Amino acid sequence: MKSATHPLETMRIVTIKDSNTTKRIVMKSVSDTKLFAAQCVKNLRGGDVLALSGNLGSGKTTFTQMVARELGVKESVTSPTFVLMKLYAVPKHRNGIFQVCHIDAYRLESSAELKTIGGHEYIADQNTLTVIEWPEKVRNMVPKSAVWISFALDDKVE
Amino acid sequence: MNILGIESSCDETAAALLEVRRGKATLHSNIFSSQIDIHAHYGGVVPEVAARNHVLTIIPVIQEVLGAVVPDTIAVTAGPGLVTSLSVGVTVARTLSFLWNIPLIPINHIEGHLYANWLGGKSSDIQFPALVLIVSGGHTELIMMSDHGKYKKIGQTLDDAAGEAFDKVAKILGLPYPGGPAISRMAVGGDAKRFDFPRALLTDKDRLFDFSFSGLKTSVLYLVRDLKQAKKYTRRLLPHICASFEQAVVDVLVSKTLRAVKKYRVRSVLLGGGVVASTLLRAQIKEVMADQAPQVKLFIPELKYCTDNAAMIAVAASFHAKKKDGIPWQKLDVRGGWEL
Repeated sequence: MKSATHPLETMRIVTIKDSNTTKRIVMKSVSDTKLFAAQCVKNLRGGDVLALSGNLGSGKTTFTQMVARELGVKESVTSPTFVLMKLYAVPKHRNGIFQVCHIDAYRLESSAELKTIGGHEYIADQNTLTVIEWPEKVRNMVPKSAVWISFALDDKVE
Repeated sequence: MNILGIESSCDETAAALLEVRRGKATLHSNIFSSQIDIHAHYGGVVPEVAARNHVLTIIPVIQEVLGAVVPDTIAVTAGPGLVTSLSVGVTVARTLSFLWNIPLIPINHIEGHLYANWLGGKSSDIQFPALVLIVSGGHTELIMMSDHGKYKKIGQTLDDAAGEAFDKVAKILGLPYPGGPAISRMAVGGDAKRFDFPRALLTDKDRLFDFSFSGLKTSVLYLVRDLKQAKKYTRRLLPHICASFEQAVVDVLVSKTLRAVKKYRVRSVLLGGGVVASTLLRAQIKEVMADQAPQVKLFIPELKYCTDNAAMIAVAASFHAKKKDGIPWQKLDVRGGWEL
């Protein structure tokens, strides 16, 4: 049995929810995801919080990598699962974003745990774009203004 | 000189006592209070749980290791790792350093893993330059080591660490934590050629020595999803899926290592980290090295020194002690993102 050449070449459905609207986008390829990340970056400002939900392998970290690259982050954005939180400088601060804080709540049990590692300070910081994976696990720490983006594999498509 | 080593960067609270006399190191004791049982319940390390258990176990573990001995130096893992876990070991080390008025040596966890190769009889054969492959739950890195304390990272994972891929795939397959041993056990008797998972060999010239395991994880996810949709997913397939997955990881690790050996003309290859406990990885790298680079000496730590332990921290410190790298306790801080 042969598996797909690139894991993101499978169709994904992305649902974006902010305080006013809900939008549903179908992404068919890696370049669609890149385009979507670039679109997102245009609308992002320092202090914004992205809450990325979706199962293992649904594309949350890949999307974060694309957002960071689009912002001009030089280092490679790697999975924060092990250390819970990683910081990346945005050298040519764009839209008032000076750094990206990448949080992975996969291993956390409660909002209080995110606080012990200082996550709330970045979430509240006006110069930081905070991206939170597995936000359901730390719901109390996700501000009302956060944009929720949920990733799902399209099970009906082959 | 007696060195007390302390390690608490993830889920092991560990301490060790190493005596160095006339250049000869003797390990007097090396114990850890494994927390894996607690974390298995949650399917992974839970940071707060880890930190709280480090607090409970660290003093008894150190007491057990020291007996009546007062060490001359304390070596402690200062990073990289979970800040909440690291701070338990660092705080205890600072306190003991103050009480006994002895120097502290902060050790990088990755450096500790590679020094696990000096915990054995054959370490006098290690020659520089050496290529180091560190593979664990949080790290997958290739490092050039030109001498003691001299490192240059030449490659690393661009997304998930190899051990993390094992943990996440185990979760997808409904196998227990930690994923490495669970998958290896399940893979016994499985057909590693049954499923052709992708090997991210990354041939771009600036990515030659980097790794990527996220796509592999996702491939397993798709396979399971597709098999479930076709109503063909049964437990009987698990050995084949596990064997095929483990083979894909090992193929990438071995071929990247060999690629670096050929490019950098090293004299030794050193392995380290929890994933090195994989029997498949140990066997295949031995075979490939003997076949393709017989002039290069391969060093693989004993199983008990692959996973997190404090003996490796103490032995790394014994080399730093020669250079008088000790610092006063006031200057030691947790370095969660410490790059070697």
